[in-house]
Amino acid sequence: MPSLISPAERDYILKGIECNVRADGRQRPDYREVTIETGVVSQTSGSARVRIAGGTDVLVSVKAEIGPVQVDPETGDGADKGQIVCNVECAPSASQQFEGRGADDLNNELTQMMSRFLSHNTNTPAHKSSSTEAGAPAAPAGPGGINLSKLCIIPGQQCWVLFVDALVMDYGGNLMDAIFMGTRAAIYDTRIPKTEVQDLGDGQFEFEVLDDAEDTDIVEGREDMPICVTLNKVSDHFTILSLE
Amino acid sequence: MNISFHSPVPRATNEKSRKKSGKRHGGNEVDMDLDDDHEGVVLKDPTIHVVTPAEVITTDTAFMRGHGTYIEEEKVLSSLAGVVERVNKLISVKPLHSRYTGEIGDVVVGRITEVAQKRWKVDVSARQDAVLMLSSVNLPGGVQRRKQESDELQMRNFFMEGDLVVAEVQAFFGDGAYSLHTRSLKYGKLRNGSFISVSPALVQRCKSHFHSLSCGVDVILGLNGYIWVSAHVPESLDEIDTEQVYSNKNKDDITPSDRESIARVANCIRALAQEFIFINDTIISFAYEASLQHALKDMHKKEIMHEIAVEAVSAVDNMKG
Repeated sequence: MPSLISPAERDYILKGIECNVRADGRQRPDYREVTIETGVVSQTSGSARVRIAGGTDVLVSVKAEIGPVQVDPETGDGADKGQIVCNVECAPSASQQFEGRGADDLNNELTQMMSRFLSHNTNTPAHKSSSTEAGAPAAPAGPGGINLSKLCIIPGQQCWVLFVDALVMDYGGNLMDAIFMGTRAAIYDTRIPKTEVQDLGDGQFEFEVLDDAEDTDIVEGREDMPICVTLNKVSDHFTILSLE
Repeated sequence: MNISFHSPVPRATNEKSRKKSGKRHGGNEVDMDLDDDHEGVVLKDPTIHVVTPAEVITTDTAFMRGHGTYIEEEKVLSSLAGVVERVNKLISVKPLHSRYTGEIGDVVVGRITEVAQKRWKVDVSARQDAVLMLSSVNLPGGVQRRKQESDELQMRNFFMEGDLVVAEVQAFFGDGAYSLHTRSLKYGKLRNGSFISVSPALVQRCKSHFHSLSCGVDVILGLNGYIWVSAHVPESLDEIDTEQVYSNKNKDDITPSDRESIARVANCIRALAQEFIFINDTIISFAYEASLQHALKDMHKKEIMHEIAVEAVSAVDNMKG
């Protein structure tokens, strides 16, 4: 249901944005209060919960698992890289419009967008149409900042796969901002176990995952991860979305 | 598997608090010692007994069950999350969060949701939409005149869907819906400001719900928890053109500093609502003063709101002595 607003209120809000005084006293570029918690889900390698005052609530978890490397059949790229698999899901309780299958399109869109930004390996099944990504910086730093080469364990065979799952628990605007903030925070929280590779000769390798909880790796390149800021254009001015 | 739910109140105080609330309502235990030591009790008011659904309030069969309670195995249990109230033998639970329940004469702020046959439906955060009859508004051109068919056809010129109105509860319908009226010049369409919604329980009935604060801001405290904060419009009831009552146009001379004051007052009200403090004109003024030490654009932050609310409460306490 679209919320109702009276002509006088609309006029007051628009003029307020023009005067750089919004209804809750913020100026145009001011963000709402953001709360970030990390390490909220113990079963994951890293997790974060982002809340933006006024509603938006997103839980992001990162799980590191070992999987085979994915090689691009055309370019032969990817043999020495790990992977990032993204998934965004909007809980039906987050908003009325997400009920039933209402969130499917949004889920797909957000998942694709995250995959595009975080992994420059364009071969993951989640996004077939992301080949439009142009001007991606040369390896090792991808558009998502994360150094995927460091996630490789045995080139051409085994690598770490980071499953990044975002769950939208409440929806109150600035959704992409919250998802990217949460992802960055969750990756910062992520610890990957160290591995020890043994060369058996004849191109045979064996590796062992060390279960020392103290001695773990961080995700390299995390400080270069992108952050998203959504701006809305109201008459002639750009402003951070406000709900009130 | 055994699952047990715990109440937010320390168990040890339950018996005590029940006696105290008896003292408050019944008045027959006045000589009871008030200065009991409340070890480990952090509650502000020890007479408040908070219960959660399915929590046993009393096992004493002498008590009667009131609103918000039910009886199971001869025990009185709560069906709501709320505060226990006792009047003699009657135990009821007042919910922590509820919709607006009105009384005749209440000043409410509402939003038009529907234009229907000779009436408007108004959202007043009650269980049902209230009704504003065409016959209970002042029409332009003469204070009292018969409603004509032409008026019925142009009802959207008076109030449109989405418009905010301030009105008074006139009567109840058979199904419990409220009938409103705007037959006074102080009631009518709202302009020149912004809208805030708080819990209806936070606005108390008092002499006046229309306030002009010293900072040049008008506040209308609707008893239904809807609050309107607007730029000050000088009162000159004789000069008001009845056509103007239904205008959608804001006044032109709202300065940025007026807007800042309005936003500041609105944020003060939000701060008070966040801390569950009763809202009236006195505490809003104190909160406004307390807020002046903070930049307007920082006022939406939780801890600053908390600070402002705490300061306002202590200022009110000081005033009372």
